[in-house]
Amino acid sequence: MLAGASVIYGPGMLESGMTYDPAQVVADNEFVAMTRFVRDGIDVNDATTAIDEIMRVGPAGNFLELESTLIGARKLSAPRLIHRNVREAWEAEGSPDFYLEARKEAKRILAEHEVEPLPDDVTAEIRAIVAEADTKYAGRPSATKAGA
Amino acid sequence: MKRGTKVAPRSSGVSLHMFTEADLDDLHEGTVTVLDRTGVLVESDEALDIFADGGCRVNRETHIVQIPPEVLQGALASARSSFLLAGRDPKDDVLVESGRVLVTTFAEGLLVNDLETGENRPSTKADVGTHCHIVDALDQLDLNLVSVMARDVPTETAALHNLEAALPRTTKPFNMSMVSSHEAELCMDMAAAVVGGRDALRERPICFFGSCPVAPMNLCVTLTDALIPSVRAGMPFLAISMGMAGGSTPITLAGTLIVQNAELLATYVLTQLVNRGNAFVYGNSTCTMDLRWGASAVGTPETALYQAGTAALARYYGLPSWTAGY
Repeated sequence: MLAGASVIYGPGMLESGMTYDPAQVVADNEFVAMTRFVRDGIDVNDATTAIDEIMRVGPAGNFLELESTLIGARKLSAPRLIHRNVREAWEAEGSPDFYLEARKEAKRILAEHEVEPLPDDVTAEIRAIVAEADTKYAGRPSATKAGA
Repeated sequence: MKRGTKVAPRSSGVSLHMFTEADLDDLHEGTVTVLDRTGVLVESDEALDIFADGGCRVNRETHIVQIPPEVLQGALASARSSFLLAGRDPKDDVLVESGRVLVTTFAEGLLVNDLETGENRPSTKADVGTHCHIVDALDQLDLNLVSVMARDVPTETAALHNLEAALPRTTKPFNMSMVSSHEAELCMDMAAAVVGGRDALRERPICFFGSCPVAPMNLCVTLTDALIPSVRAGMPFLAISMGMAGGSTPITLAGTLIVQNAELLATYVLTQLVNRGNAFVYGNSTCTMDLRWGASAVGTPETALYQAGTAALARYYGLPSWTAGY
């Protein structure tokens, strides 16, 4: 990421490339977001140095009640599956396991995420190309269709 | 159209520059010497003809191709630093660029941890579709990939089955592995059926192919057979070098980068001799062999350095890069 590779591939991979894990790719998606956050670095300008606020709040004050805190909080990293709260809160939610939560999310995506289907004639044309190739190159008609 | 995450040198942001210009020049000059004096092995006669016609020294008996510096320079003069990959839905279009970062999933797994049972089992055609569907929904992943090999279909037509499974399950552009010319041609026909013909596919490639040389410095027939029809059709092409330091490449990191560079530049020269200006992605999945076990070790500091080195070299040549990571 920091070296500027145009495309990085790998999320979902386990065991040096032997196994693909569909829950792992959901988990890795969170890590990618965090590395992109790091890549963005620290902006140093008049707005971000916040000198006025630091002087106004002063020693022993607090920044929690400032409007800028509310606005800025939306720009912080915010993983959805990684649990950042204290142990008691985590236990109160049933001690959710990161991997199992990622698996749950993968299943939710499969159930709820809609992908625009291919038109029927295109699906048929694709099927015909595969079936003909199976007969020609593999010596047998194919039995398996898409997503079977 | 989506562009990748910016990297410095720019006004802000964190970046890594591990080589000086002099370092990069040394790696380049070393590679020029290897390509000119030692050459690469090219298995396919068709590819040998193309190298010979392009001004390279070709030994028909040994299948060694030596690439003179001027041929390499000529090819590098037409390097394309960016190209469009089209989504089936234009909202998913991405620009692959030298100097910006996109992220995609993993490819070419052989086993799957089953989503329902957790069982580790051989991968199937259905898994290809399932994984494309999940990645389609993940906001950080800009491209899709054929994640695993469908092991329940004929090997002679596996790429077609992968594509048939992937196409309906994602609107993001995707890459897939390719090892034969008949599969490359037919997969382009299948993708053309989606976008409305081969010309439309060249304009808006919804998928593109990748293949690997065999280290050290063998442009194997599976690589060139996938490459030639793909590049002739004007499709971007990804070559992934897969050295294993201490086995198929030198034990030193710099030496490994030079072997990898020789493989990738020789492959790149072939793309330019087939179709000058064709988009090419400079890829690696190079790792170190842990000599204690004889195992290829991927998640290591060496791999991180190879990835950063690959990105640096690709930018030196003005080519987009592709590396393993995460």
